[in-house]
Amino acid sequence: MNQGRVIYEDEAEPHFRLAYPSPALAVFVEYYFEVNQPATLSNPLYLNALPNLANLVCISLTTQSWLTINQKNGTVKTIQGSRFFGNLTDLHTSIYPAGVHEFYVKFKPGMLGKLLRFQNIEVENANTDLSAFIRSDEWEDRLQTAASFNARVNLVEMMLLQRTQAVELDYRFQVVQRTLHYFAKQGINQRLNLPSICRELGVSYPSLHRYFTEALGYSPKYCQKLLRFKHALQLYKRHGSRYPFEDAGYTDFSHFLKDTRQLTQRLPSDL
Amino acid sequence: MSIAEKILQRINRPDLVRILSEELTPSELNSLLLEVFDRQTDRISPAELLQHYQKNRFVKPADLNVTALQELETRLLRIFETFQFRAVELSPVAPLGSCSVVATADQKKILSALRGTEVLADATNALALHCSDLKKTGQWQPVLPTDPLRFSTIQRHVRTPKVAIPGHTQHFKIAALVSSGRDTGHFQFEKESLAEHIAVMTAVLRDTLRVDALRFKLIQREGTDGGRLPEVVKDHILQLRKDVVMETETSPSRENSYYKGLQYKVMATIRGQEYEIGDGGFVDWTQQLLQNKKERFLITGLGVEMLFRLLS
Repeated sequence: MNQGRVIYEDEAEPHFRLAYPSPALAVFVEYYFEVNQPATLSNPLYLNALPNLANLVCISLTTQSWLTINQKNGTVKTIQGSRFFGNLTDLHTSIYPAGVHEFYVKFKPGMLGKLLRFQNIEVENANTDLSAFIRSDEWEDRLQTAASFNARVNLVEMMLLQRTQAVELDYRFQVVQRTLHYFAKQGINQRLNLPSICRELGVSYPSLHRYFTEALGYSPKYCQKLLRFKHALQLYKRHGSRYPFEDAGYTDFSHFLKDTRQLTQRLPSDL
Repeated sequence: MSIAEKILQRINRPDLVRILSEELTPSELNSLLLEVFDRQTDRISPAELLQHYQKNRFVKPADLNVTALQELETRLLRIFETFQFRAVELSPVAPLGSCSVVATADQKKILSALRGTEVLADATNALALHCSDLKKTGQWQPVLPTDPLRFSTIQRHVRTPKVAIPGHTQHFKIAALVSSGRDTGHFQFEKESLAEHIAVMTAVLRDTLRVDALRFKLIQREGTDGGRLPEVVKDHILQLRKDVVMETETSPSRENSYYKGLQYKVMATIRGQEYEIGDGGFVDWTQQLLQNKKERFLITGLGVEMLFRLLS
């Protein structure tokens, strides 16, 4: 059953482009991406957004509206124009009846809050007009007239560089970012569980917990759970249920299944 | 002998109905009836008015949570508009004969009113008139010949036959979708427009309201297509979408000349029970209204109030 699908960063999609930030912005930006996929009213495009920690800035390159449905509480929103997306705690399915052409900046967890001075937890599941946060008309004008994805990336980098220079990241925030970096590597080196990460960073777990709550509004365990799930779902899509999910930080496939249900209320095959 | 004939016999005016309906113009009849109702209401006391209210099955409010229903309606209208079915707030009355002149509907089942109107009994008929008017007056000009007009509405309907099913009421809310286009050959309009209506129904029922199961039943109806339409449309939709459950019924158990070529039903399973929550199909109303055989019109009705009660 078509209930939407998740697009991953490394997917070879003809309608999906991705670029990583320059070194000067790598602390702030995870990556830039653009979805340009046609659809028809009779065969709309369905995409899923997993629960995550990132804040996104979406610049709409068309005037088409689309729907987003919170799969946990059923809330439906009609979206049009450029948007600000807060970190998600629930699975969201987007339905694009007339196709989609949007440019996104995916910020590292908590970083957009540093830039625009808001607490991460305040924008949980937020989906609001971008103009509430920045001069979106200026961004829209420049990005909509840019000739290509690469041109848009260059423009956004120039605009972001001006803003990021004034931002200072304190020690606690840096510890959080380094921990998240370890979480992202958990599939590669599974010995990096929370006690060992605390040892590596020279902080106690209660301190780490406090830093995470201050910076992101969530516990380190919850953040680890989200990142582990995203990575494991990608492995499931590539290899199916026979993949050794122990390598992704789970006890077994059932453990992964339980997390999937808890985070998305769905089976992994429906994502 | 009908009730009307019995009354005419009792008052000894056997020609009265013929005179009123054939010798008077609609405007004269309206003036006459206005005078009659004016005199009648002059005789009604407030106490009698309350008695009438208590006895009349059409006038009581619907027994439901209004704000919750309106929230559902807003969600549905947003989906309709995102799928480019422009929402219209219809008048609560339509021209007299809106349903019975173009469709196989009995005028006695409709609450006929004064000033050449009737209380809205089917929003799709009112939308057919709206589309035809836009086309006839040139207010709508398609960019391409294949461009359809799409409208949606959610409207309270009143129908006069006494309801027999518990929980059903004389007035109820229905969501309606219509697509009005032209025949460009190869069932192009039929294939595309039905696929669009089904995509909207899927987005509403499966993706938003998350019913347990959803399937569509395509029923063959008499038309000019030689009975091919359901299969042609089904093949087209299933080619586009693998996630839609659809079946065809080529020898339906009941005759229905309301729809032409194809009728479809929306079957939703809610809490383990399957309900016929929507109904639609192709009709020839715009062909009749615009006197043009090339006109095509697809309608869908979704029982919003029933859905609300089932999901509450």
